[in-house]
Amino acid sequence: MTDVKGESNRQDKPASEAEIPDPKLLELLVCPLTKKPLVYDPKRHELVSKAAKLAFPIKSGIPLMTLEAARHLDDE
Amino acid sequence: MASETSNIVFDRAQLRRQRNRAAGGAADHDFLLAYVSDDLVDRLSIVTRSFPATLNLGAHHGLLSRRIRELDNVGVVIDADASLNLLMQCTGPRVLADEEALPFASESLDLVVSGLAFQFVNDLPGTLIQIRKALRPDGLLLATLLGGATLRELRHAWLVAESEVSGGVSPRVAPFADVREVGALLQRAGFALPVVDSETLTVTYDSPLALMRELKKMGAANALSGRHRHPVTRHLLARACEVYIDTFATSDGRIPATFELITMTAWAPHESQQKPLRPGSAQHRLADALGTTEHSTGEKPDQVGNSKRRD
Repeated sequence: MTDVKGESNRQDKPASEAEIPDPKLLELLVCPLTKKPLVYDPKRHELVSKAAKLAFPIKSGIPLMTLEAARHLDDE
Repeated sequence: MASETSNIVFDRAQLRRQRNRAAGGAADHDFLLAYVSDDLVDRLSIVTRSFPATLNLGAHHGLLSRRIRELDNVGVVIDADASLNLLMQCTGPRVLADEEALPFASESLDLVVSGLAFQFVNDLPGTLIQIRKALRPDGLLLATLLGGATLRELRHAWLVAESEVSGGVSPRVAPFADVREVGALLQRAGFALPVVDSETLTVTYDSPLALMRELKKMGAANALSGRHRHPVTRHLLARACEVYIDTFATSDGRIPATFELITMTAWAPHESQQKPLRPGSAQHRLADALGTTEHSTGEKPDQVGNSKRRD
């Protein structure tokens, strides 16, 4: 998602406390493609689906779980 | 509903752009969602069980979630929407998600609600199956979508105007599902005890242009895959408005717009739920219960069944 207007959700700084989603919410989430579990990568602040080779970013505490928002993990 | 030839009725990327653009004014153009939310709250408030984990799918700006959070039998409500700008206005836990590819674990939710989102899903059977899998056994799906009679006046006006002006028609008003289709889809998706009902709401506007402006503000402008990509000519628009007024205007000069609200209630299967018994599995004779003697009608049971079903 790049078409978000203004505000604080553009920054690429490391995640602060407020930006980490509710752990209970993270427990519910799976990869939208494979429905397999996700692994949280605290360094890049992403939810990684190994099976689909996709990384879903978290912006302003919101997991972006669409294919458009995901980063492809080709090189790993 | 999607036709057999093409399943891609809606341009979902275009829909997302439109809804992102409309997000700023969402709270000023939410009368229909407010109406639907009130109705869904009423329906939920009489369900005698609690829902610790709820998902609002296609949450828009979070209106329905804010209302159902006030119910005693509803716990955490997660908002999911494909438009980030709309999602930013939601107040609880939030997830950017596409209704066609749900990111929720199997048997993780007690309740899925949705207000006015499913009419824009290309693959509604697929979405329903994913919802059923994400629900715990005996979990509830309660959703309202726009049905077939929605915007029938506008559809008619565009059809007449366009065939006159350009000698052909292009898709301008979305095809919507009807009650029977939705019921069948729920069954095919493996839901138990599905109930589908429909309500027709007529809203009046000053003019057809006022209606079209409102639809745009609701983020519900034309996002059909087969839409014409060039802008509507002034002449065509004027003619469509004229047809609309000539055909439908009320005596006080306003124009009506129909919205059909289809509401589905369905449960993820659980062994505690009522089920029909197998034919022939009766433990007692009806004649005994009635204290009478049984006489054969001369028909075989399956013939009786067939003749009854035809009536």
